[in-house]
Amino acid sequence: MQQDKESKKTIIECRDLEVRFDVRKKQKGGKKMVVRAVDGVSLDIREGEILAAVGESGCGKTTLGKAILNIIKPTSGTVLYRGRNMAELDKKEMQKTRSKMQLIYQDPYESLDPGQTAYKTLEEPLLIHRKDLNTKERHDLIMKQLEAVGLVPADIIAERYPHQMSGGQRQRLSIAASVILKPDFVVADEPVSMLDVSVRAGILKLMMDMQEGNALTYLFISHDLSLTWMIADRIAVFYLGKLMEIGDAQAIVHNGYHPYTRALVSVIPAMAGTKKPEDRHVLTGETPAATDVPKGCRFHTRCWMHMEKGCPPICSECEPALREVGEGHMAACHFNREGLPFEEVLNEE
Amino acid sequence: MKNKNSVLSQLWKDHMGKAGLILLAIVFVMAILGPMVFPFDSSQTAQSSSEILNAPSVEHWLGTDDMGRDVFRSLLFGARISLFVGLMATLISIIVGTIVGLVSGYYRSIISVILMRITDVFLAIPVLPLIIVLAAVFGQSIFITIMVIGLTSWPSTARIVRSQVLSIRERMYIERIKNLGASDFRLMFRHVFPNVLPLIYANTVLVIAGSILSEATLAFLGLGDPVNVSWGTMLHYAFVSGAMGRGAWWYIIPPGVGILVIVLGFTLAGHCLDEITNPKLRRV
Amino acid sequence: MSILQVKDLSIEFSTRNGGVKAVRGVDLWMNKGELLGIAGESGCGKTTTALSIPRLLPNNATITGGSVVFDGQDLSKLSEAEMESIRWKEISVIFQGAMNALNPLRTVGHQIAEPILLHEPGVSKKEAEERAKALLEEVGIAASRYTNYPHEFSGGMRQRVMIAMSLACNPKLVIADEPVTALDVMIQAQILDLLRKMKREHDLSMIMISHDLSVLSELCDKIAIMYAGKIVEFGDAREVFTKPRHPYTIRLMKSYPNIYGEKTFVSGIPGYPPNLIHLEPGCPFVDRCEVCMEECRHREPVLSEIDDDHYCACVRGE
Repeated sequence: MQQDKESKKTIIECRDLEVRFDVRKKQKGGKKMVVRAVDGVSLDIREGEILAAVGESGCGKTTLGKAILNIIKPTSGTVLYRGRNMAELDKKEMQKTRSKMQLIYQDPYESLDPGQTAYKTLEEPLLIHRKDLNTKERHDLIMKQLEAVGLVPADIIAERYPHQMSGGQRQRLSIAASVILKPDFVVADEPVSMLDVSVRAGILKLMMDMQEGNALTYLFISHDLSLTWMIADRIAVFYLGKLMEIGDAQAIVHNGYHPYTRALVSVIPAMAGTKKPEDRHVLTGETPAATDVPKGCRFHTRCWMHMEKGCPPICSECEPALREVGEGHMAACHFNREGLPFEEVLNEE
Repeated sequence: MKNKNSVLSQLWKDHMGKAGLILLAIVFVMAILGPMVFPFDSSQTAQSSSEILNAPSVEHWLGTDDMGRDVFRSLLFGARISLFVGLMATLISIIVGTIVGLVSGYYRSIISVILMRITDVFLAIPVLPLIIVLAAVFGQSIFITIMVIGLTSWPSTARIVRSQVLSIRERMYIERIKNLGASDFRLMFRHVFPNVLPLIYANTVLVIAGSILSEATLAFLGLGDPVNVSWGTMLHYAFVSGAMGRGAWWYIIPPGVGILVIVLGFTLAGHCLDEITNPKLRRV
Repeated sequence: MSILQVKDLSIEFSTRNGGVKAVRGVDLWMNKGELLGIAGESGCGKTTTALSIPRLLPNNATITGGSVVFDGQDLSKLSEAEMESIRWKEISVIFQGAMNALNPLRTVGHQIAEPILLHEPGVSKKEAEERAKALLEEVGIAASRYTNYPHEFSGGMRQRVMIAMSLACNPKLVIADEPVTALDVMIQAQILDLLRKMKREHDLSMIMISHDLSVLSELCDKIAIMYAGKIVEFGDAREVFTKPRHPYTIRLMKSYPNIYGEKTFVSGIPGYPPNLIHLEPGCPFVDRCEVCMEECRHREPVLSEIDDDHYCACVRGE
């Protein structure tokens, strides 16, 4: 199955990962409300790839990223980093692992200490993890890193504070601070969504350049399906804390099997003059609250397929498991049949 | 971080700040240079009753007090005392308040709860009974006054610092650096504290104003140091010696104006500093 | 029939660092019933231009030149009192991020009825309430939610409330400033469909401001692309999007990934927009333009007609 295809090693493995939060408010019945932010996710991230985690707000993609990095402690399930269970690492090993796994934040301003210059921002990770370097070695490494991310002239920008830099420059600095320790896994949480469109390409290209020669793996979190299609190798689609579909980027966008994926792709605004499919599935209503996840398939309350096919009872009773629908392509929907193209699934009785 | 020079020039540019700085300059000159140029000896009392409570003259620019001492020199010396007490008390208040505020705001555990309860206790201590008790046991001196003011004013600083620390703690960059593997110590002193510092500066200046006023009040009530005569003590003696009834305005008005000037100076500068460090308060 | 004509509009902001020339000689026009999109990146002047129409600019902004003719009337000549009678009754605004600026202490229904009561003094409280309830239903919210408070609604629903509010006094022109920017892509689609529907049913003219060109391309009849306080390309949306002429427009369009094309990296635009306090002479795009000529550094191009209902401000196009 998947093992044959894997010439690449798996760097991160999630098994039935769950992150739940208690909410103070009580339901009418007196039961305590629980937010099921990540509700049983299993996936593998392969070394050197860019895996995109896509979904709308509240789907758990950011929580998943932070749970993998152990910033948020998972309530249950396991995360394996290079085969080792993260929960079993002792303090020293955890500290070492920390330097190998980094997070790039969405907000280029809020993620930087306003009282630190660019130089100090880059020096910090070195002072914590690279105590073997002396002052001169640190200085050289920082200057090289500034140049590598395009913040030139390095000696001038090194003395600047965040409020003296543009959004794009700050994000470059954020990226520099993340890669200066030469991590092998980086979670990028919406790294370009707060930047102007014309600036995004430069930042994305920088992120990809960082991969070359460094064997870097990205988990790219985004709500923007067309952006992730462009940059990612594989895309994972999330809804209300669970994985709906995962596969090769082209396959997900052009040959999605899950009705949610299809709906998301169909509403992508396309520039006039580019081809557009006729079927536009604008889902009605809103994503249910994470405290009140629908029974059975959690998407069935808004599923256009479910309604088109006369609301079959299985969708409200049974949660569909992730099944293979193509090579390296899995979806969790009762309507899918392995090997059968989606169009024929639609026409099936 | 803005360097000191630009903060001073910003204070100077603002009307309120400029007024405050000028008033403070006057007081500091009085306090520092005054007694050097015009030394005052509180033990040099009058020889005869004709020298008591004399109106201003060429010899005594602001007349004499109830003990025949030169009011002008007394005023200059008093500036030093008032300022000294105010600054020392503030030092205690700020140091204790900042440490308590920082630690209780940063840690979420039982430490924070204990520190907050201690703060509440000190907040509840009444100033007057405390100083009366301490004065009765140790005698009246400026050090008692400094202690009392310091011990009863640090809670409000702690509260202010704590609430700022609580909000900074939630900022994204703190989370990021924490996940880099930074220790609590590093986070507190390299990242949280420097970003609370501007607030502390502004608060300090206002606390100085409050401390000086507190000292003046306590001294006026007769609880100050009888030897190190501050402006408040001057007013106390003016009052008890019946200077008011005798119309000895030169004994009453100068120290009163002095207190007004110094408190106003620190308050104006403090408010202006507050606006500079907290952009949200700026009057557009 | 023309409903809006902006001619040579210039607006300057006074700041600590100097005068920011946010809008520099802008020409725009639209007909009744059209949807005009104003696109551009941060700082290009699109919000300032649009908000100057109902004169809702901040205190430190001055209109230094030009005219705004709305429905035959020159708005720049009206007094503040006269403008007040135009705001909300003739021109209403859906502000950027307004869904987060709803009064948390007042019910949603009350906030929709408020403009009716303020601008139409003859209307009774009961009538205003009825109209507000009808508007709620129109935007897809049950009328029974009239008594709910803003915190009981999600972001998408609050934006629907804002839309209802903007239609309260039956205006002729609605200006929507980044109406779908902060919303999820599915809710975005819902709100865009709603705006289309409202425009049709209320016979509205609309101006939509967005930094997202792809959103505008789906909706607009006319499009204006702004850069550094000027309109660089303007005209019929279909024309401009299928045959873009200005180098900025072309590069900007190429910055959007097209899932129906090849899976290649988009290019983006290197460099930064110019400083609007100290502007260099010549075309403002000169430092980032691939096809700039020597002449471009010396004179700023004027918006001129290059095709039927298609205008471009580029030396090459003239």
